[in-house]
Amino acid sequence: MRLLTHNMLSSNIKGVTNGFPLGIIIDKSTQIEVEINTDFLKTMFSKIDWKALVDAATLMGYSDLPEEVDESMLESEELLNKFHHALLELHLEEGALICPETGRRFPVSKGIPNMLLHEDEI
Amino acid sequence: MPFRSGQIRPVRGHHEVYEPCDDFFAQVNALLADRTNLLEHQPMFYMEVGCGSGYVITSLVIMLGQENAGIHYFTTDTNPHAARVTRETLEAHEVHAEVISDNIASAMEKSLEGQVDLMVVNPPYVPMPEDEVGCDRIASAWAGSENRRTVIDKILPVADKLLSEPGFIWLH
Repeated sequence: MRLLTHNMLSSNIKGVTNGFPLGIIIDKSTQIEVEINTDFLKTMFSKIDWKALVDAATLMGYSDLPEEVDESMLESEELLNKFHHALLELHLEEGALICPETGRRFPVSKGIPNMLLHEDEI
Repeated sequence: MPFRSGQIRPVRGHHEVYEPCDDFFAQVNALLADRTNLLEHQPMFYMEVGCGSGYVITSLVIMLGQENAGIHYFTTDTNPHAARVTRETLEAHEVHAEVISDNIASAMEKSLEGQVDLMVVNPPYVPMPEDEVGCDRIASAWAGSENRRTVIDKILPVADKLLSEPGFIWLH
């Protein structure tokens, strides 16, 4: 599971109003290199929550992203490379995602988060 | 250049996962025929609901490209076995899509609102009792409720919320 996906997931348990961002418990993570596409990254920048990405990347052992960014910084190749690495190349393989409000664990196994809710959570 | 989609097979089956048959091939062929249209509006997020054995999503990624084409793929299934087989199918063909065990796209509805450029769905339509619909077993692949519409009726409002302005849903 890429951190891009982490950035898109929230806890959808009935009654939860603040289900984002999910906490991360890491039992196993990997890195897989992929081709960089700067246009994709520039568009993605407007769609993601930067702070959630920085925090998730830090948890995954990658703390090179700046805390604050603005669009002009996307002209920097160095920043784009770091953004690319954090967003697409870091993978959570085994572990869990945690609802920030209830502490409910959503297990992640073989890189697949299980976001299915129990009947009493819908 | 000939596409490789016709050569795809799941790496191994699972007794709780629906295997590719004619309806899968028909869906992929339909997508293939519309490839130019799909790429025309520079898509960013593609989502498949109900990945089954991963045949359709794997074909889609091979056909349309991934990072180099600037497309990111999500695929979901209510059946965790299906999600696992799909990941293996993707890996066997050296392509990537983000696989999520989810009910339609429940956990992504907030952040992907208005962001999805293509939704691909092959909803179950065999008349079955309601308690088989959307279950976490193989029956979810065909159980379409007694009036055949339960799953389709649940997916359409989600699609309406998630699809981008030029986006569209492929309901097969």
